[in-house]
Amino acid sequence: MRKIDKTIVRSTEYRDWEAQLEASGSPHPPYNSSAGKYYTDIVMELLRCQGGLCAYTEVQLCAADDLKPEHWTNGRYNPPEKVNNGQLEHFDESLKAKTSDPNTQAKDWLWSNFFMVESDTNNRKGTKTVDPILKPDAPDYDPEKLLEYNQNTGFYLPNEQLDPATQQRVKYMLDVLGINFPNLVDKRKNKIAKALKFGVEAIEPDFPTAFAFCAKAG
Amino acid sequence: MKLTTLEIGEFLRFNNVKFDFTYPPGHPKAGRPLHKVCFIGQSGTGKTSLLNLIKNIVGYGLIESDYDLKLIQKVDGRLTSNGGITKKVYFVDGAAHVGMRIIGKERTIEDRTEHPQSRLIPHYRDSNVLIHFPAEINTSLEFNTYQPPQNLSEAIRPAQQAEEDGLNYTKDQPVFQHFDFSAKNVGKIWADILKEIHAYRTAQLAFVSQLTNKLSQQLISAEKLLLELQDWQKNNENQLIPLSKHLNRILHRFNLEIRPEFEFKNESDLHFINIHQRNGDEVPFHFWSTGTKQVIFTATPLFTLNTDKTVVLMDEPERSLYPDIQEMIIDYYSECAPNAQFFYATHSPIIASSFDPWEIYELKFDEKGNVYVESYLKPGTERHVDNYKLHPKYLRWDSILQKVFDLETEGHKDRQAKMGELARLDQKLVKLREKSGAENTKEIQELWVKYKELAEQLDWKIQENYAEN
Repeated sequence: MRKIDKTIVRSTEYRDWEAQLEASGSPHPPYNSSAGKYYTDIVMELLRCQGGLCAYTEVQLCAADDLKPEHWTNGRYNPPEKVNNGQLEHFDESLKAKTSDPNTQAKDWLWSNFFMVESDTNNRKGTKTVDPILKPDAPDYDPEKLLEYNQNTGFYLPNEQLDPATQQRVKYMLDVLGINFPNLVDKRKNKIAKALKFGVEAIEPDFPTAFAFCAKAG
Repeated sequence: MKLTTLEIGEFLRFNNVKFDFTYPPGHPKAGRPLHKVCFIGQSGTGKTSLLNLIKNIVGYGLIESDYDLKLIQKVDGRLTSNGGITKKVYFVDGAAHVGMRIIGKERTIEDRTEHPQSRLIPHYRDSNVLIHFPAEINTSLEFNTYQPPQNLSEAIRPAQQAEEDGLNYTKDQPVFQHFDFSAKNVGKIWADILKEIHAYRTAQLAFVSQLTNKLSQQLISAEKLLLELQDWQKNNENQLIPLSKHLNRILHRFNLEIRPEFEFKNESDLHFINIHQRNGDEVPFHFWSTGTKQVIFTATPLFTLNTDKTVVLMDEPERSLYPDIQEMIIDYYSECAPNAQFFYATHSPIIASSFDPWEIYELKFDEKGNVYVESYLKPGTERHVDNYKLHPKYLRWDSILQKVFDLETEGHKDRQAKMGELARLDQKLVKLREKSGAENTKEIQELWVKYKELAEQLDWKIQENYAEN
């Protein structure tokens, strides 16, 4: 799970709209799946930030062609939304109106809370409580400091250098984000083995972080 | 009669669903009705309802309640005259195949149309329409309490006999042979199924009785009696011999067997099959296991009856059966009734492994809660034997669970936690070995013992190059 730079480059109309909502402290309109005006802009901007990969599992969600800048005009994504294998995910579900404490301000369209993730991963994560320690765009998020990758099993582990309490927090989030889910582990392990044998060019761009760990370990 | 298509408009959770029950293009039997079909899907998706619907479609004329009729709307096709139920009946190589379209929920009993029985009676002259095994097969054998049917609607009669009796076929009454093991009293059904065995036993009893009378009057010698008995047995076919051979293939796995020779002890022996422990004593019916009953109650009618034109419905064929029997039971049933058309509904991955992808219909809920059929075709391809992405017959059991039944986990949740422990041990070993170089330190040896033990518990295959030293 690599660090993600979520600086908005193309979806400028949504960026201004969201910034205004935040500045004025106005409540966000309720999130209703794909019904929002900027839904497609958000999805395609996120996919660009994430290199077309799931923010958590790093499986590929869309074709590279769909991320080209020519699809954008005046801060809006032009073509109809491309088919992708992901879902727009709220990292912290409790910020949504449906799930939040009625006394707190709902922030259904908050940019910093959005990621594009693989559909099954999103469904499994559900409304579980999150710990920001593994939020991929957090300023202090650093996969090398927080994680280890075990090549034989294909499992991510908390970095053993961390204190036990922090290791527990990381382990909890690895479970919440489904990073070691059996099917995913198999897929990751097989792809990495192939990349190590035939070179990284032989595989699609999935799992770059796990590959980097393995390449570093030699 | 075999079912080739079924279109459902709005019925239960279905909404415009079409089933094609023919072999796909590219198959040697392309376009002909499938020999077997398997419905899978979460509880509530409508598998059992589909079996019941097919029961009513194939057995039209056996429809007994207004509720059933409300499911069916419009008629067209060669054998019906006015608009009502959509039941297209056509003949392929002399066998009637039916396509059915159910358009909507609304229908009144007045819409009932002329019945195609006059055409179908000759079709079914020597065969049976339908055999229905619900999930809970009625295994109560109350032969003595059986009452003959009071009216035609209760009667289950061979078509030929009904024809000879001069019955009026245009009535909306059941006259075709129809074996329903959800019925309250299955005694009559069993009497029909085992009539030849019953006749053989009765005749044998009568013959032996005559012989013993002669013997007691010293009209024949014991040697002559034996010869005459052997002669009688040679000239009279005992139907229980082939049946017992067939059933014993499975019963032997339960350490049981059926013996074809008849031992008369009481009147009930005339009516039903007796089973023995293998090379041992008889097992009274009330001691039969549920699995034994399941096998005998399903395989006996399928093997004994003429099923050449029969639709067989079986809900949960895995009931009470151990995995090794589940693995072979579908092929076994096909051997019992090679020309029948089977419709199964199952929750068992082992049962599902006996089917080609074009024989499986996986029912799923969509986001709105409607039921749809999951496609096993590669995206963007048409129905053709070469275009299926999933082949249950080629998959391992765990793959079937994950790929066909969509089970996401690979075991109990504790396995996942233990796999995490194994990964941690593995990672520690990797690091320690890097640090120690070629030296096999005490710490490495101790970790290795733990690692191996855990790997064994998890059935985790340690890589070949992961040498102990």
